[in-house]
Amino acid sequence: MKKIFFIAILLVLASSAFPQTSMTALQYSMGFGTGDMHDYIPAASFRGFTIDYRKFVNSNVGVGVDIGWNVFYDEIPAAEYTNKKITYYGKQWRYSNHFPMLVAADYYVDPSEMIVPFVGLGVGTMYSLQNTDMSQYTFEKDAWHFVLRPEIGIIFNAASGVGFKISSKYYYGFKAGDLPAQGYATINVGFVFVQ
Amino acid sequence: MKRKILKISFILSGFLLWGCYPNGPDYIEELDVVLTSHNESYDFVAKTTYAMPDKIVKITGNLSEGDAPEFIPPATATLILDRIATNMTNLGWQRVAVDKNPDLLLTPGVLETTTIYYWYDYWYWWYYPYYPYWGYPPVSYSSYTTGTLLMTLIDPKDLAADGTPIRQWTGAGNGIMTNSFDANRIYGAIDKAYELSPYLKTK
Repeated sequence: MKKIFFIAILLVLASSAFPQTSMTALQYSMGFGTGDMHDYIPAASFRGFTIDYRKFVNSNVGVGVDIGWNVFYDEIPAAEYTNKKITYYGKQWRYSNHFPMLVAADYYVDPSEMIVPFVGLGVGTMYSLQNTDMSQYTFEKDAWHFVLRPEIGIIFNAASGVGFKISSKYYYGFKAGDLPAQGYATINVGFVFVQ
Repeated sequence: MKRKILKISFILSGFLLWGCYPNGPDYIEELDVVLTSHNESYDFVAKTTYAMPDKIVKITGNLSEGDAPEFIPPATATLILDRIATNMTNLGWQRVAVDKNPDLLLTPGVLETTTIYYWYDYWYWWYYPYYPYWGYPPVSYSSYTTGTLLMTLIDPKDLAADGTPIRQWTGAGNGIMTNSFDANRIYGAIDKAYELSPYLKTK
């Protein structure tokens, strides 16, 4: 828990020192696991946020960084498990925390319009922390993944310097450390501030 | 102004998400767990009789020092032993006296473990000198006790090279203890241990 708390604080503090002539998006993020992630925690995540910073290199292209945090959680009813020669039965609480940190670039189709579609791609790293709690014990696994992240979305320019952003991202973290590949899709809604 | 709103939004979103972090169990019964293991090469089907004592021993470290064994209260032990016997009967086993040459011996035991955790009040340096300071950080502590019921089947004729009996089957139920005997939890653990062990069926 302490690990997660300090990482979250670092993410928030790191995001609050952005320079001017740029765009910063703060979005609420909902996650949907795929592959091994979905097998481990079938439930969707409604606890997450992303902070995206872009510096405009020209009118159509922005380059910057993304950081985020998504928490997947599920309460698994009591069930039977077998590990080697031991069979055990009980309830499990499963947690999967993901902290993506990427460099990214977006292409904005027509930035002068009120509705601006865009596509983007990010590459970077993601720290994943997985905890399976059963009885008084927790079984923990973590890994730093290499991650690729395509994105598609729309920005609504509501007023001068402020807008709304809706986007969909897919994070794919390659197999690393104790964990298999971690893949999940997100739907993000939030505000955009243009400086 | 916009940058100030942005910074405040960032900080609030971090704390909001932290406040929404999911909690774990709400009731201690949810932490109960049952485990079983067995010798896969042992032929339980060929056996039919077992013997079981009429007491349940408390597993402590004092036996190795020559102290007399402790037992759980007889009234509680009877309830637990009757439940074990019912499950064994349902699987086709016949209970006999220990001097009647049983095929297997069922030895029940309980284990208590108390976990004490403590922490220092790291904020003591902040409220001193406004409040008393004892020269070292105040310590807070708490504890919880877990209980484990162990059921072991051993074959008195099947011993290891050093003469110790080999555990052919072990069933265990573990949970956080309360001040009162909760029959539902104990019976549930015993029944589940046998449900997880269909290979014990003899008929």
